[in-house]
Amino acid sequence: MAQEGPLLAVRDLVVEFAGPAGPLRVVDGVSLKLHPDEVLAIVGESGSGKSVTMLAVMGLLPAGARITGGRVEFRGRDITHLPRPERRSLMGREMSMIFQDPMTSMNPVRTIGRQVAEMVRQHDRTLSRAAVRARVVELLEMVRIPDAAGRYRSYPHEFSGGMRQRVMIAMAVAHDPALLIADEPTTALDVTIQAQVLRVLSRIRDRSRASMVLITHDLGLVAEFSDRVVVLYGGRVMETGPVGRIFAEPRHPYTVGLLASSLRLDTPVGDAYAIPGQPPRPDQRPEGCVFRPRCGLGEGRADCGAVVPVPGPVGAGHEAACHHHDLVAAWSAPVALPGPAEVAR
Amino acid sequence: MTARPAFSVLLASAMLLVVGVLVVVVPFLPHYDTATQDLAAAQIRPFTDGAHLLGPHPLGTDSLGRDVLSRLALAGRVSILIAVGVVLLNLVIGVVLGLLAGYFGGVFDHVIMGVADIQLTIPVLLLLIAIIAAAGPSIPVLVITLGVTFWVRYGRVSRVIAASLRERDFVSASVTFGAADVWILGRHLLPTVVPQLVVLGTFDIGVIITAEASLSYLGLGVQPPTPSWGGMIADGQRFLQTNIALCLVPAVVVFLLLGGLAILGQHYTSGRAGVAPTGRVG
Amino acid sequence: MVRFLSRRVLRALVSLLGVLTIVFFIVRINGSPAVLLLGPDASAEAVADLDRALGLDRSLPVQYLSFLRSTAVGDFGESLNFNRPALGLILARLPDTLLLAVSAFAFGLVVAFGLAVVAELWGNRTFRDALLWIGAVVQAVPTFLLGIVLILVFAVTLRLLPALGAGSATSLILPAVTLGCFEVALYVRLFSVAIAEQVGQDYVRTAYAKGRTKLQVTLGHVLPNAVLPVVTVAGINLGQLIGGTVVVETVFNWPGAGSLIYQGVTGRDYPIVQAGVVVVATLFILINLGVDMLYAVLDPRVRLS
Repeated sequence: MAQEGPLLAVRDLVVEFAGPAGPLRVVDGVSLKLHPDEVLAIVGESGSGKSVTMLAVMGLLPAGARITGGRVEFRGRDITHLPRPERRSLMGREMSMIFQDPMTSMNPVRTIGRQVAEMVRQHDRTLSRAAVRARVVELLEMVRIPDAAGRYRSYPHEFSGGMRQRVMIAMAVAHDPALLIADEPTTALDVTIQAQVLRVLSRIRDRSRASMVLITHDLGLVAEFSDRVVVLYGGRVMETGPVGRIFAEPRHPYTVGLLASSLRLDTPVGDAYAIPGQPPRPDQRPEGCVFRPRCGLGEGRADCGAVVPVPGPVGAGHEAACHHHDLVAAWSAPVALPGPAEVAR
Repeated sequence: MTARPAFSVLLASAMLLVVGVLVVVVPFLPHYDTATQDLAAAQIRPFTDGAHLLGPHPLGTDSLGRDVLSRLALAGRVSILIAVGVVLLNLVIGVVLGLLAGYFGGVFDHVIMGVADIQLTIPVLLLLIAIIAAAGPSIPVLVITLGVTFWVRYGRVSRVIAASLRERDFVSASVTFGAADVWILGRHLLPTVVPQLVVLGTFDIGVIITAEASLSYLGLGVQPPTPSWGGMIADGQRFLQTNIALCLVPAVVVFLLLGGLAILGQHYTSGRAGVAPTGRVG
Repeated sequence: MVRFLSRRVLRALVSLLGVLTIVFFIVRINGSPAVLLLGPDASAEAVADLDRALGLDRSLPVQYLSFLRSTAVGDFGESLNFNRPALGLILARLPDTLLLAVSAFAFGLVVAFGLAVVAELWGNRTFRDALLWIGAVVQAVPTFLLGIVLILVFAVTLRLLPALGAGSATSLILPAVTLGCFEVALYVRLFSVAIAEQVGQDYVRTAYAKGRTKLQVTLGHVLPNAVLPVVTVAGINLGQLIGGTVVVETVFNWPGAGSLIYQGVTGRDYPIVQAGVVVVATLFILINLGVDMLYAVLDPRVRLS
């Protein structure tokens, strides 16, 4: 086992969806690395390809979507096109995923206990019925479900959204996976519940030392929980780097826009800088830099419209895919960017 | 998407064409005769000595010596006319009730849709049989009973359309000008609702023909001496052991027509397979 | 749950009242029900006598109430041809009708469920499409036609199965399959739609994320949810099935309530027809109610609300 290398490495990944007018490239050459014991945040607007990238890593792409380029390596081993049985032995045991909407992510006609037990038994066939049940109750208690033994026979609709998401977390960590993928784990929840769920998630991760990919568009979560950040836009990586540097010295205009627009609405500067327009649809991406039509910096520059910028080093562990990354600092000076502390709640 | 018609459409068209030729062309043939009985020439089998293609009985004769081809053609005309009449009646009742329910809402809606709901929870075919048994079987009784029975789908569709259109601009504009409700219904809602329902009705013709054929098979539909496909099949069933053709020939014609309609219907609804289930009608 | 069920019970009662009302008016299509009750050969005096005896000279609402009262105690009058209470005759024939309908229903559900599950697990588009196309044609063809074709093939040509009556155990096969083919076509379609709706759901992805196989996910998660919408339609349909056995019972000369009703129609024995319609319709409505209850048991969201 390559202990020194990254736990997960995605290299030039391309994912295409079957569309009525030919394939749609939803993920267009994404590369990223996740090191052991690290929390990597993937940020970007909806449609930027964050969820699809990680679904591809998990082997859970929906029908009609295929990996058509690049590779996914886990512990140094290529798992891009793993045969189903080997893939299944990874899922839930070595890598687990927590999904966005806890309301729809559980089977409505099976009890909570049975759904968690399904996960427990899946990768440990030796357990007796009683042992499975005991483990399920233990897991539910770990995520602070009150009266866990008593709620074993409850159905999902009897649980609140926050409780369901905690059950999903319990399920995901049942086998202490090395890789935990949390896909916008709190987006569907009330603000008051979000903090509660995140505390549970973070405590459990601290205990198990799992590496985690946190997909989110909430920069507050990024600042609070992650070590490094990957910024995705239009299916491509815009910028990647340690969380401190990304917040302090963003080197991509899109990151600047994300940070600026993350300020609360009562801050006037936040109004002043919102990214204009909408992200492009996968079949309507511009030539050259995918962010160009909405970019305040690249306007009128010929290379932006002609050459696709590749991520290049701009600092220690910091890369940006912008032809003019050296101009970003000066250009963004008038925009008051929030520090990590301000973004975090 | 492609200019070339799908295999299913070609197949269905061929099936329907056979029935179409039978119903339209056969009555103009020189030997067309649906009534003359000739016991000496009874039960001639199709395509045999007495029944070569250009002779007087290409498809043979029935148990009373009447010409099968001619009777098939007339039965088809009767069947199709009944079905069209029934569908029109369904359409009118359904559109009127549906528009009333959808446009006025409230009590209208509750009562009309309540009746529609209840119609789904009672055995329709059985009640039809009871009504026909009480009133005595005849073509008008058949058309009226079927006509007041199968309106529910049209009613539902036009109710939804009316309710959604009521919210739209051109209707609310009329309301502010004080246009009478009837005028709004007639002028604005009807033209939108009817074309959609005509499509629905075209495929419903098959359902009605099925119901009519079943009732005629039971002797409760079209009455002799007028021929009907259901009646011819019932007649032929008595001679299954000796002359399969008497039963088989009308059965094939019914299959061609209803199968063809079903294939066309499936072609136009495939992709959205969740068509509202039609109850058993026979 | 109590509210759900009490609403369904109410609806069943309204349906029953609707059926009785229709029957009440059907009997009066020709003026006096006495004509139907006595048969076409009755004399004018006999009709007038019966009118008085039945209270048909009273006002319509009073007649309606007394009709409901006699229906409630199961009094439909005597069969004209058998000279025995019509209700008893119908009830004696009912088990055979139920046997036929339930066999056809079970055949339809089991075969359709199997085909739909195979289509889903196999994932072959051609197979799935073929099922739907053949199903569409089978559903469109009248039942009596299918019955005759089956008689032609299995009884007349191959001589494998008896065509008519209920003489032996095998004589159930042809009528049940005839009635069941329509059910197979109907349920293949319903199951396919219901399964297709479920496989894209989030909870299915959750199950795959645990490392489960397609077989396990389909059987353990997709099907329990896909069955629910089918149950509702199945209820209405089992009722329709019992109401629709008349044709098949006639084709195969099956000795059930349906063929007795048919004999009542052709023999102008209206008490039989009336008793048959009311009994079968009641059964139909009760089955619908039973299915509603089953639905409540299967779906915890309804059961526990």
